[in-house]
Amino acid sequence: MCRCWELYWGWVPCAPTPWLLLSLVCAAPFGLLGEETRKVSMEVISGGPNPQNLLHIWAVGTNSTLHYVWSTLGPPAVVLVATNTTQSVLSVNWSLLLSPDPDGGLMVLPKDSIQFSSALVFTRLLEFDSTKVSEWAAQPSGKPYPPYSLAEFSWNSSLDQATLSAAFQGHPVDDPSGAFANGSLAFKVKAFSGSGRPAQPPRLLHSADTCQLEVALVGASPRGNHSLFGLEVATLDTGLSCPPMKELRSIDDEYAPAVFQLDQLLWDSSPSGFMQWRPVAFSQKQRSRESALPCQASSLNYTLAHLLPRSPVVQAFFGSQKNFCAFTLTFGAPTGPGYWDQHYLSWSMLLGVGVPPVDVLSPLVLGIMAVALGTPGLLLLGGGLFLLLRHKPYSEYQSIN
Amino acid sequence: MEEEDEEARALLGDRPEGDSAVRGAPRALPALCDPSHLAHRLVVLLLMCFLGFATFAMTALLPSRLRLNGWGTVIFSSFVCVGQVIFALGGIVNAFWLMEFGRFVFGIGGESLAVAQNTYAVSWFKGKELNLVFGLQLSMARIGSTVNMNLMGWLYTKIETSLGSAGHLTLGVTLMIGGVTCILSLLCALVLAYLDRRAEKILHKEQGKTGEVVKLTDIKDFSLPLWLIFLICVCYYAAVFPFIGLGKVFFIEKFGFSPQSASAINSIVYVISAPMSPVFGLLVDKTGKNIIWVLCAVATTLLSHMMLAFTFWNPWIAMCLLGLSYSLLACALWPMVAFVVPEHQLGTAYGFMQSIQNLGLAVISILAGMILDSRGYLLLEVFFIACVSLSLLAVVGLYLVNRARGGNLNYSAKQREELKLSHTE
Repeated sequence: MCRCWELYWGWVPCAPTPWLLLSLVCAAPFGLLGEETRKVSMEVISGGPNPQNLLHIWAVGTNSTLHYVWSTLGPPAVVLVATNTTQSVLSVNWSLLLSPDPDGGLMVLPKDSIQFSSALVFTRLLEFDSTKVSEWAAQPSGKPYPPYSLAEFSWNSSLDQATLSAAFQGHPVDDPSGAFANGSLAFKVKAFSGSGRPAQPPRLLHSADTCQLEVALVGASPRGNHSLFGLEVATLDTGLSCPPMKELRSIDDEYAPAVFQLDQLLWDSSPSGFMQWRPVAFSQKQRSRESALPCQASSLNYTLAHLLPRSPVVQAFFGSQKNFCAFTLTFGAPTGPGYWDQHYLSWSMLLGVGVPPVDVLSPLVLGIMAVALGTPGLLLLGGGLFLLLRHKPYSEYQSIN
Repeated sequence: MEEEDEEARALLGDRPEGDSAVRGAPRALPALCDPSHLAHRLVVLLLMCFLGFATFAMTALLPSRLRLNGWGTVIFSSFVCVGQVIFALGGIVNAFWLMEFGRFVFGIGGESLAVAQNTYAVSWFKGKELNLVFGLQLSMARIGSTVNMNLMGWLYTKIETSLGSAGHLTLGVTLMIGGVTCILSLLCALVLAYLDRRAEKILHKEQGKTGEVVKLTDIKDFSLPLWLIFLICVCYYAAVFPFIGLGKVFFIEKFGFSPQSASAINSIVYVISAPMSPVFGLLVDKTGKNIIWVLCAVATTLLSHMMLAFTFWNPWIAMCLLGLSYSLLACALWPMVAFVVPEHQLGTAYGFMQSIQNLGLAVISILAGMILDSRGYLLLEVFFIACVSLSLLAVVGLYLVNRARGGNLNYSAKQREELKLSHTE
């Protein structure tokens, strides 16, 4: 993992700044990055004997399109494709997709317009017993319970065209212990046609090139008194190595109080896709500072494909993969607020293409600083000048005497 | 002022007792027992300091200082003891309203003593050593706060292991044990009250008449420099105490400190001010020019807050600077009140200053919490920077007003000596 220290307003990534400027300059002609607004559309594609659903979101810009294909076939997964034309379409071959060898079941046409493509798979829901944290163990969160494989969940989906959002609520198909009898794991997807910031913490700044995913665990019964939950996420490797994960530190915590860090996963390519989140989760629906849980992300490790739940959608688009890069996110600490308070856990992330949105200091901060530093200085200057000028005739009078 | 009067009376010899006081021979009091002797005054200073220590050891966040002025002091000191006992009882029986009531009673006692201690310090030490005395009193108070910060937590865990349960009972017992220091303060109050009465008889100080009467109507007589001093005081402390109260999580989250290091760096302000306050007091005593020192202190605090807000530089630097500037300000600012206010209004002036300082702290603490929860630490720091900037504005204004009116706030020590000598001529 790469740590970057930020001295000024906003974020500067570890990767050399010239690269960032270069990417801004070079990308502009492609028109793929930094689109102000996009026209976003959503559709649910159904097919197969047992109707399975795919959620397809496409955001059309001036001369580029971003496709997000969200599926709960197998573990929840998203395929992210960026093309340099407004005419690209998604083609789904259900019979291939639902077959044991789904290669080619999902395609974005025309194929040569694809500038960037990658995928994220949410493979497992992890649970740790935080009362059994041993110093020398590999798991700082505690002894792990058997994880829930998200491929074995059944999902209900709902769509809201007005707010460009969709939700998948799932619970295990086989639930012998009844942990999910009154609860569910939900994946809420929201697409954006322009830039903005949600009202709810962590208030991630989004742009037209991004969509937001919120993972919420509500009501599920934990297996211990002080259980910490985690999520295992897998992504494709970039051929040579796993994509780097960056921790950006900044002085600015205006939008996520007491969180001075932003984590990013950047797929190294040009244009690049990114996954961005604040290392914080919330244990209450109101999402205040008191209910904030720290979120730890492990580094990305190569994992053999057969050790992870299989995602047909990823295989359909990218072909069979030998390796995935996987990392785990753990939410909470042994002491302090936790899932045990209200049986609620919520974490948000952004997924997009291009340059990750950067937070800058708000005008309020800059305004207050300008006034706070300027006024005493001006007063001292003005008063000093006034006194200096006032003294002159006085001193002349004294010399006469 | 009293010393000048004494000297005047002794020289003119218009009071028969005055002669015996000057000669001192018939009484032959040992130095430690003679109220006019420095050694005795040092004993008194020690007792005054321990008063402050005890109260501070019980109130980490409320800047209440135990004061002394006659038997009123003893009464208020008892209030402090009783208040602490009620507070601890509230913890034992798990009644939050009782704890609040206990704090209320404690506050009545602690803060009412505040006025008299400052006035008393002026009456015993006015002249050359005032800055040093304020420094030492502050020092002891800060040691009390540091002791509280480091000891109470440890005491709580010890009692928790011995009683076997965390929670209200442990809290109550801890507070009761801590309340022992309040008994110490009551003892100091009793001893000081006795010594004070004794000094009055021996030195014929008109202590009862000067500074003890607090008349609210005096407020309309306060001059502009005094109001500016009040403003400096309120705005400055509003940017220091609430910050220390909320700072631990800031250091953990932004700079990645462990909880223990964060506590340590939080308390460094008090740890530094304990030894440095007397040093700065001495410095300001020797050089005078109080306003310039106040300006330095406020500017350094502004710098320190800006470093914490806008950079990732090691926060130890910023916090040490904060500790130094905080000590310097206390030594240079509080004695200035004595220079602009006539003797008979001094009590009111200090009382008012203490009052609005605490009001300001109460309001700003609530506001700081609200800002932090909604907008985070950066905006909180910017808010504190704005407070310090307002304070800086007031200092600059004070300097200009003082200069324009030819006031004596910024006199060097030498000029003050000349002023004193010219008064006695």
